[in-house]
Amino acid sequence: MAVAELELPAAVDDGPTAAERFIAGILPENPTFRQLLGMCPTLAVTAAMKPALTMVAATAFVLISANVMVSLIRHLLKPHLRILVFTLTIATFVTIADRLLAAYLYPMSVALGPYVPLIIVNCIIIARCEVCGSKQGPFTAFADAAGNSLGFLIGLGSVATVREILGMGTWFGLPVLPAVVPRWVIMVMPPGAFIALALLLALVNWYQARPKRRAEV
Amino acid sequence: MTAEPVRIAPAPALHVAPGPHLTVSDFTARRMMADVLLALLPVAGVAVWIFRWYAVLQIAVCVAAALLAEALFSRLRRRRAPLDDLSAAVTGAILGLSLPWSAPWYVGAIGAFAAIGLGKAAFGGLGQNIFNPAMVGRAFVMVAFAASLAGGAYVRAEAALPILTQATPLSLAKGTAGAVALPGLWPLFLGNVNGSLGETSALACLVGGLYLCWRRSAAWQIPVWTLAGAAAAAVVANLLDPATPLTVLHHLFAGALFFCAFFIATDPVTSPLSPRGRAVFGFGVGVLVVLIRTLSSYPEGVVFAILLMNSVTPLINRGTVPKPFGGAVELPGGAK
Amino acid sequence: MNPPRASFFSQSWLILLLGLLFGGALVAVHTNLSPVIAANQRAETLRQLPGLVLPAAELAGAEITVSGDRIAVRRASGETLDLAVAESEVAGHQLYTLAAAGGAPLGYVVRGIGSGYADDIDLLVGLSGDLERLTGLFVLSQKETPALGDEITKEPFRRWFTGAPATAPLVVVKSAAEAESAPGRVLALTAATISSRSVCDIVNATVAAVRPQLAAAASAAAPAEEGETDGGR
Repeated sequence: MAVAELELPAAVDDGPTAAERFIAGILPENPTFRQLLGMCPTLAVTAAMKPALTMVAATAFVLISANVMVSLIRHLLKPHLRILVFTLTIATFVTIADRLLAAYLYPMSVALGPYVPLIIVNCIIIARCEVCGSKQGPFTAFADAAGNSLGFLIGLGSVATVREILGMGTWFGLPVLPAVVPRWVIMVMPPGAFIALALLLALVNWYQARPKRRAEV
Repeated sequence: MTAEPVRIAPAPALHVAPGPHLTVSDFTARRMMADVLLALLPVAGVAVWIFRWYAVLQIAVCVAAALLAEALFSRLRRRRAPLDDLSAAVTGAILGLSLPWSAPWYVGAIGAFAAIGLGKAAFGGLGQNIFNPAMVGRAFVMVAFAASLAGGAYVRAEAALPILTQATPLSLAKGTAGAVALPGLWPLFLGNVNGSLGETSALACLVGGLYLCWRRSAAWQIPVWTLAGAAAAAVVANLLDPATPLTVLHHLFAGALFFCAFFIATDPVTSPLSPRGRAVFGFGVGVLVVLIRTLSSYPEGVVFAILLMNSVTPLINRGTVPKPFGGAVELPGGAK
Repeated sequence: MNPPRASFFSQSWLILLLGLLFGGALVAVHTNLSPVIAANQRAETLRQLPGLVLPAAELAGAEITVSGDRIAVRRASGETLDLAVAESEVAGHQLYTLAAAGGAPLGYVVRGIGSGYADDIDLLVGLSGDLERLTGLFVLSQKETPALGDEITKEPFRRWFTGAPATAPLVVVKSAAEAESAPGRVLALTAATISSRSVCDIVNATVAAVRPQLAAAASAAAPAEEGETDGGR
């Protein structure tokens, strides 16, 4: 067995710094709007703010734990078996998060249903393990995971805000629209998720395109 | 911000354009849309006669919102707002005529924005859309404001006009099994019943529709085959369930079938191109309408029938390419 | 090329080790949390029981707390009603028997599951202590059409079940006048007849399955005693 196979090519900590990783995850490489990762929870649990934020919290817990864990054992990873190790690590933390929710936030656990176990297949987490966790130190991995969690919070929070306010006239269950404003039932149904996400994505892209177009003129 | 000047390349010495090379220059989208608006006049007239101010308001709100939406979304896409091609007005008018008289103003307004925004602008504007914009808007408000558009919403006990206190014919048929006093066929044909604004009178739709077909602004195959499909499915439904109060003629004259056949299904953008394709499309629409009426919990099935058939229109087009004059041409690569 | 067997452990020792460590961690988490989770699930169902057996007037503004087999109902007036719950299974249905602490059964709550317009409807139906009347309906889970079919979870629809006779099947009708004309009629929801009918079918099937067995058990246990009259209308 060759020695070179033991270590990943970029095992030395020469990637972006922790601060760069943290900032990039929030807006410039926002997981929802720029990477288009983790679409399943973005569509499925954003009918209201409470389940959306519970999902963000559970995902953040798994993302941070798994990224730091992978970073700690990054020198032991074999390149061809790394995805297996990522999945194993993620699945463990997801199961812990699922049990914790069922024990201490039971109503939310019921509301989220199968979407908590499905965090295992959330591509944001495996992408961060692959891009950052398996290549950089634990502190950078932590900052990277935290930044992406905040980005995920912005993604889910914005979709859920649009859907809950339009669909139910509430935000976090608190009334924000007067009763005379009609409720758009479609927004809390599955088609509403696609429509809200598409419109927000269009808005983000449109905003991004603006300065460039000005520069061209 | 200021609109940037459109830069046009200097005219090339050799003019190359894709076919067709022989076109009737005055057969434009604008003329077609103007025809549709003209053909909608008898329908709108009957609507105003039956529903009075409710119809005027509903149609006005929808048309105004559709034009506004077209202007807004064109501006967002940095295009000139093509209000003068009248397509947005047609979408608004058809949407308005497909709504209940009782729907609040915001239903029409939001429906028109959904129709133009989600149904048309999102796909790239007129000619690019997969689904009939008016039906996208109708489906959107149907799900968003289910309570305002369900069968029961058409009926108001305190309404001033007696006709508005009666259930729509198809809700009646859906509601109670066995003995129902469905309106006779003659009132159904003339349109003297409750329902969505433009759907009540089969006669008015027929008059407007025949004008459209005569002007070639609508392909005659689509309405003919839509009605044939609905009749065929209704015959089968009647054979399977002889107790149903809806006879074949009821299926044809009640609800929005005539309106759908002549004005909605014939949208040239979202229906197939060849005569054979149009027949398949129309037949599918007709069968689906009756299927949805008899088997689903919705009393009427036009919206979903149209959207479903719109989604298979590209497939129909692919399957019904007409044979060129002189026989099929073998393309290089073995493709036919 | 390495023979597969020789390199097996050198390739996979990390995964095996992680598997063991993670497995151990999960065992620890599960052992600690599973009692809490089971209690949560039970409490969620038990919390609904008083509302299905006691009349709504008695529960207005009441606070319901669940601990083990006891449900404490603290009324707005300050007095506390202590209920004991016994759980059993009758004719394949989960049955909760509610009794005032140490007393005769106040009423029963049976769980019924059946298909709705979309997916299964899982509901609880209350039966009075004398098995003569239904005392309430609660839908535990459903996926009916929002704003139309999902009205089955709301009071205007549920009220038709409170006080309806348990001796005959419920009938779904379409007009309010018809529904008011006799007990045991349920007014169908507008544009959601299938959902309304599904709920009635599930309730009818559940009551028909459970009631004879309960009646037999009651007459065998206390042949002299008449069924206790509870507060439910």
